[in-house]
Amino acid sequence: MTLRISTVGMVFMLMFGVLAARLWVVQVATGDVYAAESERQQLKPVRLVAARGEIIDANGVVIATVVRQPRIIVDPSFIGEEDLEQLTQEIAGLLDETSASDIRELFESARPNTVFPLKGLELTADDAYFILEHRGRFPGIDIEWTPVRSYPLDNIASHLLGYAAAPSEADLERNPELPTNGTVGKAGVERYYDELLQGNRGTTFFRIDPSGKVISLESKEASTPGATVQLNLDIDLQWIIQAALADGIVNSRLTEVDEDTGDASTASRGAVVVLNANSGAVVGMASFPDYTPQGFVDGFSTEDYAVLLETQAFNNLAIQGQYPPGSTFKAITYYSAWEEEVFAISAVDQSPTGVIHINSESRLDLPSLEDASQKQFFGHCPNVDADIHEAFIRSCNVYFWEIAANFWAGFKGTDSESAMQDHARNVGLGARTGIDLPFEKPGVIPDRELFTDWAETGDARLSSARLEAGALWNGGDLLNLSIGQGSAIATPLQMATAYAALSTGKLYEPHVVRRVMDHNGVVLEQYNPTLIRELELPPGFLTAFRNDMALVTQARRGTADGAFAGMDQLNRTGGKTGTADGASGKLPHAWFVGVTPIQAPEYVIAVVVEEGGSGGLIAAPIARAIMQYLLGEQVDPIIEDGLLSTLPPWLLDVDLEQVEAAAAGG
Amino acid sequence: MSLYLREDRKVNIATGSDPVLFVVMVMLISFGITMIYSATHSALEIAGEDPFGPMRRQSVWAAGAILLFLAFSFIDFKELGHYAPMIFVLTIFALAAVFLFEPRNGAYRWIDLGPIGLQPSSFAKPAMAVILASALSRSKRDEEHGETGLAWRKIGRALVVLALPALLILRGPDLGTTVVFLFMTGMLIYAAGASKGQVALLAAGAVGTVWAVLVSGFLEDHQEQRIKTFLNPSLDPQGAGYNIRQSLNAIGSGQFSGTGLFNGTLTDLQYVPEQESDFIFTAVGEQLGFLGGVAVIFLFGVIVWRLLVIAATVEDSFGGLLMVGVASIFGFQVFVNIGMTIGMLPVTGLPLPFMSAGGSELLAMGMSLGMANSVWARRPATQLKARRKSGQTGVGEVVKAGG
Repeated sequence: MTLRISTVGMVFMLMFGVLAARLWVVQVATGDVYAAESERQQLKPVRLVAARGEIIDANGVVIATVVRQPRIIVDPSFIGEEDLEQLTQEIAGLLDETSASDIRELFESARPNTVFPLKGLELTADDAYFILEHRGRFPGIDIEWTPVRSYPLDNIASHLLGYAAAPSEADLERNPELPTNGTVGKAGVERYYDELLQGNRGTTFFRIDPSGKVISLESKEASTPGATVQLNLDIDLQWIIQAALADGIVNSRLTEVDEDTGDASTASRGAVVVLNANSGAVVGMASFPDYTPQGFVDGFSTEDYAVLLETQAFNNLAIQGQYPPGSTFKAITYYSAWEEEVFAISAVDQSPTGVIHINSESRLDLPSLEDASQKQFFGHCPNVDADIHEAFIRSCNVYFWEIAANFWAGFKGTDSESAMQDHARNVGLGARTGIDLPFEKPGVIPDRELFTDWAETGDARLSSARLEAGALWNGGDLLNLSIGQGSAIATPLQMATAYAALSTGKLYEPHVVRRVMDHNGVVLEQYNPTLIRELELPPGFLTAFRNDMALVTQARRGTADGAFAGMDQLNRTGGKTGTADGASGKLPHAWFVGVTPIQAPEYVIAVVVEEGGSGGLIAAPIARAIMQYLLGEQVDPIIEDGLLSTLPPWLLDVDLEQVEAAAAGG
Repeated sequence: MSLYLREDRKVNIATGSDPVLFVVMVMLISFGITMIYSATHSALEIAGEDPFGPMRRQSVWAAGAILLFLAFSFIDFKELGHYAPMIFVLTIFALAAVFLFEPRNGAYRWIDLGPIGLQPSSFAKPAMAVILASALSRSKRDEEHGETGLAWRKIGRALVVLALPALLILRGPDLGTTVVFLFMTGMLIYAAGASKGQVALLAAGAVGTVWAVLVSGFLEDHQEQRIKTFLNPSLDPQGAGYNIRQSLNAIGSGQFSGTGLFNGTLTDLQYVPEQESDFIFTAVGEQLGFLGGVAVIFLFGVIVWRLLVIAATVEDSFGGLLMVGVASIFGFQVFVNIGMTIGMLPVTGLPLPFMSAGGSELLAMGMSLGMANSVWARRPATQLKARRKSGQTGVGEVVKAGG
């Protein structure tokens, strides 16, 4: 039996040996893996909110910042059962809107023994300071300051800035890293540069028990604030632009009347873009109606929000408004004529009925559709032999039609059939400019290819009548294009970009942001002008084009003469008006694209007032006010007692150097 | 201190006891109480309850266990053999009685006696050791006929007395204790001298039975689930697999030297369920590391070693088999319990002897080692010494043992 007992002993030795060996494997050989897993499951990471980066203008003026908003943090370990009643009464006494029982509920819904924030209370900074100064009355209560977005300038540059708000489900789906308790840029610079503005969110690690209850604070990685984004925008100019645009729209309502219906103007929308002609820098951009981004932080009232939605106030018409460019497109026709050396040479025959015929119908192969084959003759072109300069200054449709007719005659059916459209695209039309803002619209420069595409895809922009006629693209369409009508549409930004290219010979990508700096001021990203292409302009073009633009504002016969008359530095102005037919039964869209100083262009200003009426009467005065500011002149009002007259005098007064000197001296 | 049960069995317990057995037992019990405190105090403190409560309760049971150890040291183990049929009947009654009481966690295991509850299955372990040893030990007839092997008759008797208690416990359901019985029976049959053929035949029978049980669906769902989960813990990471995962995490993070006594974060935060009872070894593993774990295994090894030494020393067949039975209970239960905590074996609900919180098990284990001490104190050498002291000449089996 002793032998058998030894065998039994050996069995147990083996069993215990296996235990020890397995223990070695678990604890020594792979113990670090289990240790790491244990630590991981015990630590609950809570992502902190990083302060959003600031947005400042070209001169460092803060347009968007963060303020620290207080909230109440409760540490129940300091609050005895007998204190609770007293404490909730004290807090309720501080906050008018919340009852003690509500606060009590907040306390009771939180877990015991853990520090928790009291959510959903409207706590002002004054309330917070009161609590901090009377700590004895608020046992276990502390104040935590959370960074919250703040837009100090009300509605100034709202569309450019955009806004940041709590992420939607779609946002989170797109980027799961987004803070559910923070904000995400929804529009404008806030959206386009969101990643840089977000900063790096820190993490607090809490030790938790298996039920997920927080036991203690383990460690904290602090957040890094987001980067500071500096714009090319001049905020002083922006004040002027927004006031001038608003006044200009009111001006339309006060003065413009539909000739056909006799109805007064109901203009309520418009946009302005001001570009640096030599870099594409966006120095000013406005869209009307606008909004206050702060409303997304504080909350809009239901009525206000309904109005904003109804008026589509969140749309940035400067990059999203697509309007027929009307006569402002004549600059492109002008440019095409120079490039192809195709000018109008034939006399224009004006019939007594007001219907014109360009040369003979048969030669032109005009479409039989009424809107394209017959054109109303506008009065401002006297029946004289105009050359291209006179035609541009007077915005003479007939002359530009004839150019188009000659293009049609010369290029129809050849590889160069879309020569005019190619020139339009060459200066940035018909495609997004590539500006650093979200939701930019591309506009349309129509040609045979596009119409064929539309026909194939059943695009509603091609009328069924035209489809039935089987004439997808013909001479009449080119005639329409030559004066910026028909299917041609462009955004104000595109027109500004095109005019900058035509008046300097260089096409730049428009850019809103100048540089990005980290929170210590170290430059992370410097955006230098992006030259898309240098135009190989025909000899003499630049001088002629600038000269003709100058005569539009300066010559008595120019279409913007009335708007610019009396300006101190009139000789430094230039531009082109546009009165573009939009929806039938509505006033045309008022356009003006200006360049200043016209001798050596620095700024391009594109203005559109939707259904505002005459470009020369409505859009040009807005551009004039902006030019006055840019040239350092006293800004004249557009209407009596308008917004422009309410702006502080130092803004309207051109002599900024004097103001700065005074400020520095003071 | 001595107790004279019979004139010819005079034994001095104070000088005849096995000090190693007693000291190691007390060490393990004390260590167990310490670990119970470490596994329960922080949760109780957070809940605002007495952090020493479980420790105090276990200490009371420990005192009882030591008293039982002493009491059984005094009882002549041979008397136990004589009373085996009565013990068997008592065991059956106790095991059946649990079905009269409300089940806890779906299991019939307890006899509620007001403030305390007892688990008959714990006491059934030493009882079955006595019963099986008695059934398999050499009888006077074996001696007279010079029988050397183990008669099939005895094996049959052992299997018959095993069957009813095992089925009652399995019905509880308590798979762990049932397996302890099977293991012990196997070890006893082998130690009692079964031939190779008998061992082979019985092993085949056992495998067949296990297969039949699995197929018949006699196992409760949760028992089946536990075995499946053990084989593939990822099947159920939050349920049954959770215990194994958390136990491994706790023991693994102890690494070589542990996080320090009373300094186990997983233990403190109660990540391992039942960490003061079945999973007490996780508290040891986390806080004292590989060194502490191996020390515990070593101490149990010492107990098993002492039990087998006693088994080999005693010349009485029943006493020897009784010791093999007790050693089997200890060795197997330690193996299954620790093996479970380190992910080597399925979760069976067998406690770690002397260390897991729980009264019945502690009392039963004290009782078991008391029997061992009784055997040791009555080993041939001590009896000779005792007789010499009293001037008697040795007669009977002791003289035979000398030869």
